[in-house]
Amino acid sequence: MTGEWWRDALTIALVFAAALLCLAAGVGLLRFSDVLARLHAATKPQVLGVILVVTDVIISTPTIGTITLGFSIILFQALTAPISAHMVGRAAYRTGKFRSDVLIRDELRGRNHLLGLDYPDPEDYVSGNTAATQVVQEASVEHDPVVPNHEQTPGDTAR
Amino acid sequence: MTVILGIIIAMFGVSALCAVYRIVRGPSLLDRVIASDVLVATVMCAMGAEMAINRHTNTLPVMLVLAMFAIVGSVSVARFMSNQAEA
Repeated sequence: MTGEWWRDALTIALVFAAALLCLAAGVGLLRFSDVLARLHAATKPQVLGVILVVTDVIISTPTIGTITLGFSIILFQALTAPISAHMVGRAAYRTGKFRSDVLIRDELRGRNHLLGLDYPDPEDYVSGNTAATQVVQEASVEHDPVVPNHEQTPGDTAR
Repeated sequence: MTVILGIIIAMFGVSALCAVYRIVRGPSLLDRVIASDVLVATVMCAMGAEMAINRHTNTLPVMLVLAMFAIVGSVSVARFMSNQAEA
């Protein structure tokens, strides 16, 4: 704290916003129900909170070294946080560690053979459209660029 | 001013405690990975807030190293999880 009231007010505002993001992430970790929802809560302070506090450090001491280091921190954090979140989310989907009943839209349902998985979806048990037969159909219609998706009826995929 | 600083410190502390709770109690391994990422982000934000409040730049290299290498743990665990359906 320096004593200039506008400078202290800016510091307090930025740091308070960052702390609010961290608190929201912690509460989201406690309250949300599955891995994908917790991932949604967790990725907020990783980039935006760091940007807020580093911005205040840069404003307080605007030298070349501080600015370079601060921008490097923001760059690497914005580069690595989405990668790790994507990997964790993909692992959660592939191992079934998510609640499919709360998903509004699941665009990967019925495409397990594209993911390299060998077990069919529950809907495919009903329609007899298992992953093995889908793989055979994929191989037979390989000249067709249109990939059959789950919105088609099972009779359409024979072509 | 002191009251607001106390509130900020309490918010960081509550966030870290929530992350530690989820690391301890998390039903799956991926919950623990996400919670440890949140703990790292909270530590980074707290160190940056301490720098911003006390007007120094001593821990900026620590933040840079955390920003560069926090990815390693979560990505390696996620790759490990993709190979096996259980655990």
